[in-house]
Amino acid sequence: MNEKSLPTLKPSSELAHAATTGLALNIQRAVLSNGIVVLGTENPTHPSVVIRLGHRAGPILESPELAGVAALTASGLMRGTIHRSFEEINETVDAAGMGLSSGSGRHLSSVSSRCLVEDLRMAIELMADVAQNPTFPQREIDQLRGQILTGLRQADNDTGAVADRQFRELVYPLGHPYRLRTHGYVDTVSHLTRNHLEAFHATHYGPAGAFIVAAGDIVFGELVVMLEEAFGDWRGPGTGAVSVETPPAPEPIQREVVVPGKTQSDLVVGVPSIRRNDSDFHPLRMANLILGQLGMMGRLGEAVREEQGLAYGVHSELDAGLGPGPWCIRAGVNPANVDKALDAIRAEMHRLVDGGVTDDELERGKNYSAGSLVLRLETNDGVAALMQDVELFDLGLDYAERYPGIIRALTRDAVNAAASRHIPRYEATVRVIAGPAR
Amino acid sequence: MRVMGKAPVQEHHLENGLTVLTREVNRTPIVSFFVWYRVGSRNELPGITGISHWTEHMVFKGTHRFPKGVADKLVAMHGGVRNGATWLDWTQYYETLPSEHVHLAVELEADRMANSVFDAEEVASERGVIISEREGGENHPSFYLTEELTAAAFRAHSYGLPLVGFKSDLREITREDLWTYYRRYYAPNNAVVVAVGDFDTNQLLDLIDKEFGAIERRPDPSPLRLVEPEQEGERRVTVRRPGPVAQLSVGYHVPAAGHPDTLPLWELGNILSAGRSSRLYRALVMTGLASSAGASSAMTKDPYLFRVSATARPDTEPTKLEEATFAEIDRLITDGVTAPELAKVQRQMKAGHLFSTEGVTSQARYLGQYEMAQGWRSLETYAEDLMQVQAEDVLRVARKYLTEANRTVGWFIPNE
Repeated sequence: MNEKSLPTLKPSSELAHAATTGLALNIQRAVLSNGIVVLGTENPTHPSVVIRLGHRAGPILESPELAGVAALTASGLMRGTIHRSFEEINETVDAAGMGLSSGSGRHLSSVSSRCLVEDLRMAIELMADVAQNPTFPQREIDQLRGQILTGLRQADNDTGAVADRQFRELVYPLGHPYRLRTHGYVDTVSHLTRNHLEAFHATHYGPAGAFIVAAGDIVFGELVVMLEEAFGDWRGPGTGAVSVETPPAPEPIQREVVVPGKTQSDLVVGVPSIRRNDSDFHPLRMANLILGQLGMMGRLGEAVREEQGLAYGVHSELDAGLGPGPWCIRAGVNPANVDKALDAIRAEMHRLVDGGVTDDELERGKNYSAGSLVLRLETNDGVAALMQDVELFDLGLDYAERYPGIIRALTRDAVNAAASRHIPRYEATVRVIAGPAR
Repeated sequence: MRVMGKAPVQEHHLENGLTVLTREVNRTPIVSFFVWYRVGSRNELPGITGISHWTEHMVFKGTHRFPKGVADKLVAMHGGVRNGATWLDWTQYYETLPSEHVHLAVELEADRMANSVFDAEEVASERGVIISEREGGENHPSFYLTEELTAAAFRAHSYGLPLVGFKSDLREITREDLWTYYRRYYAPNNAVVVAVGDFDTNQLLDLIDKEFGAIERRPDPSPLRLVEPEQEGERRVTVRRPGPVAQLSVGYHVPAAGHPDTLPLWELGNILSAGRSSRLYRALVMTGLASSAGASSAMTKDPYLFRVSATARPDTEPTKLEEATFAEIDRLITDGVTAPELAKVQRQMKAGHLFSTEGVTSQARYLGQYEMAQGWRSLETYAEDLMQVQAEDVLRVARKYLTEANRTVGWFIPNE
């Protein structure tokens, strides 16, 4: 593709200007008397609020024999408190038509609500109650465990999930927090007890390290007063900053896992990569965007899907977290096409590392990154997600305002250098194929 | 409940038959621009199943003005997103992008409607992609269950055909089949533009008229003669394949969207399964029989299905789960619903509607879906209309449709 074939291309300076205007997010910050951090964004254009309480009590704190305890604890918060039964919580939530949920990702456990602004006080009271006063009733926890175990059995039969599990086990050594599946395993979750949940909650939930983000039709000062009333008396330990070790380089290997009764094979090709706060993050993310995301799944989509018709889906992803999360390529292909698809993936990886990105690709990648931020921040959900990243990764309250400038400043040399530092030769990767026997 | 005032939807018509729906929403500098075509798997016949969906893929393959790949790159480089989707009644395309680039969406979509190329090599290469998409679905047990259930529920209506197509058809459909299909259905008089976002309506209409106005009207597609005869006894299907857990899916024939029973049926679905205080959640999930349960009906142009589904826990006997599911439905049919229960569900639905129309893309998507099935105006009155439904309406539709003779019961049973 050259510039001439892009008929309605505007000068990039104009685009850059457009992308730097209209993004005054005005995130406000306060700290409750017990140390809980509050970030808020006022958006009076829609009468609803998205609010999340985050604890740094995610599965990264788990030991392998208790894998799944963070997720079960987080989900179990909603199952009853010293003030309210599970049924009472459900009736209150449904009667208001609000959403209230709790769960955990890899780094965080959270309690979230989406509600009409008139129900905000009630949502905050419920969030405070389930976070501070859960009772983990035996009957409810047994029932919840059953639901999670069903989901784990389904995951063990899902080619994508099987490939991901195997990939993590080959890439991260025993004991590394990124090795474990975030919801645990059938044999660990089966043995978790109420005592484990109570202990996990008592140790890791508390004001230290906790934060609340809220976006929507709020007045920030009033919100902080409400939160102080609901959370201000909470005392206890909590969880501060968590460090995640850098794993040794994994041994390159190709592993096949047979999942009976399937038609398609899922592939994962990758390595452990970098942290979110690595100075290479933005250039590497740009290289990854060009390789496997931009437009119709980037260069990979062009080669594997558009030119060869081998797959409906192929893309690359960079999961930079508190620690070195994985960089990988994923694809779903017919078993007969696995080798062809891997060949194409190898060729595109090497073309990127050896030849780098072009000026044209970089320009398109920059415009996409800067422009798409406006789309992501259209909804309260999008704004809340950004604020969560701002707090978790310490990005600064003006991150949204600075972001277009960060992207604009990326040079081709920097992007190519990051790609060659962090995207390995194909032969150095871990590759997993999960699907029918070939 | 406070609902913000918002600009009204305006309906416009071009001389070539194109309908245009616009709504200005100026709070974020974004526009979502959709084109909806009145064609989907409903228009297919045995032998060409999946052709609507495949056509959707082919109109991403370029025109002379925007050769393959160029449109995707242009939208991305202007900070936008685009996609397409095919369903029973419609095929839809959209771009959502910063509002200063709305002209790009209008140009791309007008060009796609009239000038897509359907290059023979691209058809050949896309055959592999389409089959791969189907095979990705086949990896999930629910795919087979849905395919078997709808096939058993419909004898005369094309709603019983698989949306993605039978693999045997996907191997045989030709470039000419696709081209003929495109030329028949991709016409301004068979399409609806929906634009929501930060624009000046008159300026946007001028642009739409400039880009779409010159596209020639084509003969209106013939109305379909599709009448599903009344079902007169329970039908059952069982899929036995490797899989982790048993899954139940029950389909009851219900009327098309816009029928007076539609809203009571939607509220019935919510009474059964919306939230953790719902009846099926309490009867099936909280009792440990199922890990999840759902009940809902879709919005369709012709009569389709009200579906009740549940995923069994590994130690649950399928017959036990089925008995408990039908017992809960019988209880509702016998005892009816209470006023507080109905009020709760109506508030849930009203709030849910407000949440789900926060962004311009979802607003435009809802307008288009309504327009395809029953006309966009019923979306404008949805929040008021759903409050008009009475407990006796819900009971009446439950008794009328959730009967044994009107249902198709489908099971996925793991055979390992």
